[in-house]
Amino acid sequence: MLSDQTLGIKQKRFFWKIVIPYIVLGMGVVLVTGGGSWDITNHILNKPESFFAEPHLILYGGVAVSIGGFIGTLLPIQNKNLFNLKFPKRLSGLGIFLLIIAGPLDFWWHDMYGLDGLLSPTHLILMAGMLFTSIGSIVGIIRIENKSERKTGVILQGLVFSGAWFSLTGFAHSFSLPFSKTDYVDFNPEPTFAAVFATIVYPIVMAFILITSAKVNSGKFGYLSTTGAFYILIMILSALLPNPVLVDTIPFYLMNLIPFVLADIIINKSKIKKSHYIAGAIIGSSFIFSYFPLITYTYNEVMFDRLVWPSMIPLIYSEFIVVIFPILVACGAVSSIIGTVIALRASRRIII
Amino acid sequence: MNRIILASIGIMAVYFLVMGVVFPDALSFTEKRETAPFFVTSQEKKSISSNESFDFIIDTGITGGDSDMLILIIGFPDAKSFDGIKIKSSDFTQSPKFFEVGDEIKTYYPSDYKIAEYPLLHIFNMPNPINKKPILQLEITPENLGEYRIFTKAKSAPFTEDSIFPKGGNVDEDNEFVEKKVVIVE
Repeated sequence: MLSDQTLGIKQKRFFWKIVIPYIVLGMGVVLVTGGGSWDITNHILNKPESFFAEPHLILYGGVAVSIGGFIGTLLPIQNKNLFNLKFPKRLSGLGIFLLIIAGPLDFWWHDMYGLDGLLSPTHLILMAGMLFTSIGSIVGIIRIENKSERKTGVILQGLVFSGAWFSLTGFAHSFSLPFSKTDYVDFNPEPTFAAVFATIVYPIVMAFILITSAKVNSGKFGYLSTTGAFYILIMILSALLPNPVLVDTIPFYLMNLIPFVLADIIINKSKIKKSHYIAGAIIGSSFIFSYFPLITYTYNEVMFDRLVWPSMIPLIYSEFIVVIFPILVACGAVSSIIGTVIALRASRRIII
Repeated sequence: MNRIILASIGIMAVYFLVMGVVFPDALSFTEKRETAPFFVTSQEKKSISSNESFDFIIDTGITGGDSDMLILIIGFPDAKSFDGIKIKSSDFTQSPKFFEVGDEIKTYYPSDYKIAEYPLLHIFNMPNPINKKPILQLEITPENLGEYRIFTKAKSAPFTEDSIFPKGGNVDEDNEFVEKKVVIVE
């Protein structure tokens, strides 16, 4: 009995020793993406920019945390090869490399072209770094869990998945938000393209991340909901709270948890065939509400083409949403099929 | 049909009703900010000698509530460049924009004045709370003898009919009123 206990403790220690670096990798990305989201809000509010602005410090801190996590994955631990971690280690290594070079390259870009917009080559490098690092972190955690009897739990996994969600969202924002025109370059997407792109890609991103979080933890309720809850929490902290005119929208924004919980129930509590596709459609159909407030800028460009001052976001959103939300709900549900297909295929590859 | 699916349809219907109808309806009651800028200019001298400098001070602010932006637009029709114009002190938080003669004028407000015919300074706060009353102090050294004019106007955002100052006076290239101040260089 005592020897069983000792073995259990040893296994527990071994599990955490090997999984913690991958968790830290993912946490770093959560900080980077959260800081990035807050930075976008500050740009919308036109707050004066400085190298040491709070969002920037969180972003740099996140890169440092991820680097720490990556170093941890390289530490020699006995029996580590059992977990098939070559791919996540290489992918996160590439991600960390991109995160590190993105800083000086961005500094050089600023030097050459002044203040930059959202879409710039160096920002794409940063986003690719965040994405690779977070995917490496997720794959590492899932593979370690699948070869162990232990689990990191819904909280840690939810956080790491939300980092990947924000990383993909960063790409989607870059090609759909009109935030990329500067004094020197105009990388703003064409308004119609941006609206079509947003309508297709945001639901795909949501379904992909959330269905993957459920599928790799098959039969366990809570992973999808927690990932969604962290997304909502980070959005509230980084996009709604810093903008005084949007603080009152928080109770409504919290309602976006409903489709996530429902999707989680359908996948894990119902015995319906094709439950992932139904769940994906529910998730995708809510994209227009989950991507508030930034989505206001995308659809305003194509519908009204007004100058969106921060105080005008609620009014402009209220004007277009009533008109187009039934169409966007349907489009979101259809687009989510692609995200679900990708999620199901990716999940099979993650779990070897 | 599966009970969970039936319940989900009902819950999602309520969700869409709240988020697609009630939420925008609540947002539509958001009060539109209607602000109006103002400013007072002061200059220490009405006339100066050649190569002498003078200080030009603009006290500004807004009424009606917090504004998304307060911008001062200052034109120097008798200057050839910004060589003789220096910002001595400023309470504005954003970096000022200096448009030299021939520069393309990139504005934060709707404008038809595209190429600068004389040096133009844009200086602004984004946002500008109602209690913030920024002061701009310029030190100006005119290059030529004669009349040295300074055109000043202010705008606040969101833009409405009221969000511009002054309401009368001379008219600039944008067909908007400006306050004209003159210093004689002898």
